[in-house]
Parts: sequence; C-alpha cells; structure tokens
Amino acid sequence: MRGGIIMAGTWFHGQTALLGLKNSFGVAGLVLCASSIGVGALAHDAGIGVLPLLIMTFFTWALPSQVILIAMMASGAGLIATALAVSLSAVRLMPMVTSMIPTIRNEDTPRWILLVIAHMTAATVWLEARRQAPTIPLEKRAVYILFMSLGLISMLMVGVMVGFHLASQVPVLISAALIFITPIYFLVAMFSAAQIKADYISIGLGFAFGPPITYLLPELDLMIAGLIGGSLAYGFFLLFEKGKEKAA
Amino acid sequence: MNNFASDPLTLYSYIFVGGFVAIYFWRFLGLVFADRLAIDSEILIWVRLVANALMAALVARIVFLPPGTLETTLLSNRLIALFVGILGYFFLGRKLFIAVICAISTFIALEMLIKKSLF
Repeated sequence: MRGGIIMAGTWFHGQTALLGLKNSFGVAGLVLCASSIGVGALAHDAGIGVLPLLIMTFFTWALPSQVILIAMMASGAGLIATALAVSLSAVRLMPMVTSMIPTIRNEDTPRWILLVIAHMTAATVWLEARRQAPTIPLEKRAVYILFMSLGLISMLMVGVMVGFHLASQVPVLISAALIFITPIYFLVAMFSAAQIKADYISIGLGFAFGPPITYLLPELDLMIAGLIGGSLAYGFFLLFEKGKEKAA
Repeated sequence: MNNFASDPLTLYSYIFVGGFVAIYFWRFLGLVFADRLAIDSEILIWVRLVANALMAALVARIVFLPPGTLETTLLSNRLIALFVGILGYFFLGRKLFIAVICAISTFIALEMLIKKSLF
C-alpha cells in the first residue's frame, strides 16, 4: 500500500488545520502583533512601502532579523553586507528547527511540508509547538504547526501594518512596553514548555551568560551563550536526570 | 541611501537575498540536521537545551542592552517587571497570558511612577 495516489493527502487533516489556525489567535499571536508595531514604524521611516513590507515580513518571519534587514537597508549598506548581517542574526533558528522537526513529523509527512515548516520556524512557533504539540497526535502535528504558523504570521502582518500607519505617533512608554512584551513572553513561554529540570537550568545559564558574552563578543554572543549554557545543562541531565529515569 | 521607491529590483533583491535567503540558509541547515535525528534521540535534548539557553541570552540582551525606545526605561524596572512576570506564572496557575499581563502592567506602572516623581 505504498502507492502514491492512496497515500497522497494523508498528511492533511482539515479539523486539525482549523484548530491550529484558531489556537494561533492566543497570547502568542497578540504578543507578535504588539511587538511588530515597532517594526512597521521602522520600515515606514526607512522609506519601504506597505506591500514590500508585507512581502518582507512573510519571507523573513523572524522579527529581530527583519529589524536588522530594515536598518541595513535604511543605512544604504551593500547587498552582501546586509545579507551577512541578517544571516548572522538568524543562526539561532538552526537549533530551533533541528529540535522541533523530529517531534512533529512521521514517515508520511511530505518533504515539501517540512521545507515550508522550516521556513515557518521562528521563536514563537518553536515555543508554541513545544507547548501545544504534545496534545496533538503525531501524524497531525505537521499540519497543526503549519496552520498555526500561518495564523501567527497573519497576526504579525496586521501588527506591522498598524505600526506602518501609526509610525511615530505612539507614545514613548507604550512603544517601549510593546518592545518589552517579547522578552517577557519568550522567557515565560520557555518555562511553560520546560519538561525536565535541565530545561530550567539551560534558561538560567543562558540568561546569566548572555550579557558578559555580549560584552566580550558582540557578534556571536547568542550562539556562544547557547552552546555553553545548553551544554552545561545537558551535562546536568546526563549526570543527574537520566540516571534517575533509569533507577525509577 | 538606496532609493527603494523608484527601484523595485534593488528593493526586492534586498528582501529576497538579504532577507529570505540569508535567513532560510540556517533553517534549511537545521532541517538537514533534523533528518538524522529520531524523535527519541538524546541529542535532541542537547539541541533543545542549546536553543533554550540561546533564547534566554537573547532575553537578557534585550533587558540589559535594550533596543529602540526601550532604552528610555530603567534597567531596575525591566528586571522587576520580568521577575513579577515569572512569579505571576508560577503562583497564579501557570498561565502564560496572566504572566505577561503581570509583567507588562508592573513595567508600565513603575515607569509612570518614576517619570511622575522626576518631572
């Protein structure tokens, strides 16, 4: 029964797709919408039109990298320099894709969906996948994540458009609060996605190592803090948690 | 400065090469590594912990080296608000929404209080 025609379409589950879309309109969607307002304002000031901004939002789908892209474009930087700076800011997406994909696919998941989901993987999707995917059967997770991401990206596009039209009319404190929502959401969502003690340890170590490493090596700070903090937490897992699992 | 309004070719080459390709490169590489890992693979835990620490470092960077208008606020207020958010999460039923509300309202309240007393 490995005929392509019979198997074709088994990845799609209409109800799961709708559920994913519906669940995107939650905290994560609101946070994205709010935090993207500043990006819209930035693009407006850089002289980028609404349509290119929306296309850019869809094809970057990573707010911090998009901010760098707009800033580089506004400064008149060359294409190669821009691509390098943006790329450097996006290294963090690699471990997110690597850790998420194996938890949401099975042997029937088509390759093209994984290629699309890889594009849809950003911090928000990675966190929401960890928080929500365990409640979804494995064979339906890919479509769930795909439609949840589409919902989230729509919220982001709404926020970007609002920001574009409001531009610099937002009071300073409100605009600061809109920026501050993102780190709060990231931190708490990581706690809520934590499964083992090592998860909490990795979060604590990353937070503690981040600022001093930023001071020493501002370009690669996040990756280095991630590797050191994550590996130490993994050492804790190997030494203490894994042993306990076996003993229990 | 590039004049993007009159030159769509330049504009879209920045969007697709400087944006999409530059970012998708890492996503694709992540997918290539994921192909070698099973759902119960232990390396997957390591990768997840690295991603956790990386995100936490990003949070710390936003708190300690704030971008944009966040720069106009006090570090102590940002730290207190973050702490209140975490407390709100763990003591008010582990709800993400409640934690975010706790943190952001603390942040705005503290900022307003301080701005008022200074000016």
